[in-house]
Amino acid sequence: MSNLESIASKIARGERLSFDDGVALFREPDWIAVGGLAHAERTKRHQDHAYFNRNMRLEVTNVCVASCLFCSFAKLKEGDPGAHTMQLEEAWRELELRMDDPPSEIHIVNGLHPDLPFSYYEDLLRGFKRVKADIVLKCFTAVEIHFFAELYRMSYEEVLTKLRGAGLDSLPGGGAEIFHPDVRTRIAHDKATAEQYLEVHDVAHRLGMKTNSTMLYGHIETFEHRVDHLLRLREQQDKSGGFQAFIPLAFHPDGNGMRNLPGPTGVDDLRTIAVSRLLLDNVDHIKAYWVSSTPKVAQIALRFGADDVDGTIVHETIYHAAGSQSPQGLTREMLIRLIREAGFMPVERDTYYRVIEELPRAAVPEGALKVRDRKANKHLEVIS
Amino acid sequence: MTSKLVERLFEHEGLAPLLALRKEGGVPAGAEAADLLSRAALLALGAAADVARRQECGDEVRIYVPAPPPPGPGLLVLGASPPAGGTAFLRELATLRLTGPIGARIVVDFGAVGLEIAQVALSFGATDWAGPIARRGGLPLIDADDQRKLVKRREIAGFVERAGFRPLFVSTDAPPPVRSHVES
Repeated sequence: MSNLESIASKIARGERLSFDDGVALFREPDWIAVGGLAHAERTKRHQDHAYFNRNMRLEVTNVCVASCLFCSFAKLKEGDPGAHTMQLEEAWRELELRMDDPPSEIHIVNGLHPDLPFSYYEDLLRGFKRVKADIVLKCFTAVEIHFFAELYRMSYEEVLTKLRGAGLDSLPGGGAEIFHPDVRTRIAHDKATAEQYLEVHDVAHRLGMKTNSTMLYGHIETFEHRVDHLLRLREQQDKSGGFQAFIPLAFHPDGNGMRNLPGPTGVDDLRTIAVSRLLLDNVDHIKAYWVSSTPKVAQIALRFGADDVDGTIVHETIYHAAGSQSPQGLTREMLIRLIREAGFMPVERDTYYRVIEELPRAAVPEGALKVRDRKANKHLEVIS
Repeated sequence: MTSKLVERLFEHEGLAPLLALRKEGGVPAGAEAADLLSRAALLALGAAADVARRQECGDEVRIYVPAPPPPGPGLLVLGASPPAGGTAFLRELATLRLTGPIGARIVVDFGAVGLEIAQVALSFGATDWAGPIARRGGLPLIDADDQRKLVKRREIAGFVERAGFRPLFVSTDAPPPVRSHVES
């Protein structure tokens, strides 16, 4: 029996996949079959639903004391070319400008700014709630929370409790990169360790918060490192249970310390989504983040184990600093179309995956539509 | 070699007879085949197209630079305006592989669809790529920004190899085409 067949049998029996199974899935030449297994798992959990939300990305400061090799976004100090830190009013204004079609969530990720007072972040959160009381604030990665704890001399629990008091609802998953020390010490040596990242999430979960998790792949790591990363997340989830979604993030090489590397390919993106779905049996949602992989690959990823395409985003800057060619935002209508075209039912959700609206599926199934329209389909130009 | 898992998938989706027909030199046609292909799961369709492609064309990927060659027998080119969705593009491509002439070369324009989708397309029945690449000395007719966006020959070869195929660059600048294997 081949590796793939024995893994398929384990999945069918409801057995948990091992480290070796994970590596075998990454090495399996028949990557479409791996996708098929993941799609079956995704369908068991979510049927043909594909989730998205109306969110807004904001990076209030790109000043950062860390020197991560993969980052094209950070500036070391205020005054450096391209460095910026928003005035609070400027940040709140970003939401005010969108109140005619308001997002349900603000997602904030920042640099590790050494000089801002803690009250800046508390005031930032309070101000957003003043503009829109029911906005969900998913802000500050575990790396930022760890940095706050060190800078302001507080425990993780104290930091999180104070920020929750100011309106923080959830944590994004960024900052995980690759947990294995062989990689982490080379690409992100001066920020939170894997253990610290996981501990922040552990504390957040104990406080009743829901959070996300990520993995930055496609640079110097091996398949073994990826599997190690996924299994550490799975173990943490067994303990604290608060991860809602896992988001594989494709490395982009432009303008950073690893610009000599090629970055992951479309096949790698889809395979990583699929293996994540199969290994993370205790995480409900696998997200295809369209900014990192392009909208078209994210759409295909819905057939490789992903059940969520993230949201409208509005204005992403971190990936675009690293050369992402994706648009900086998609409209709600574009996301709905993307999901429908792939043959799924679009479901608008909030941060906690509570359904806001279930939208109708495409009137004609994806395949039938394409064959029926084939004669009129001008994109297919048969030269001879 | 197709795994038993995939063989069972072909049976389940009704694609096994269609592949058997192609192996004997026949081309599926008619309303019944169209209906079958329209209902098949996308990944099953892709896996079937991949089997047909490998049987009929092997694992060589011809990369026509800077444009596809002039029309010739058995050369199909996916044009420069692909549909918005990646899944629709892949379905169309796989269907074309399974209903097109035996051994046909199917060219995808990586400049139009992007390298990521073009790479995935190689496992859904495409055999070849066409598009602009960066050259030593640059291209005088485009500005510096556009030039930076062009991918290099080695990067393109890397995308092909990492999908499990063998790249072969074919220059279409001047007839007759000059062919050269890329070093990897």
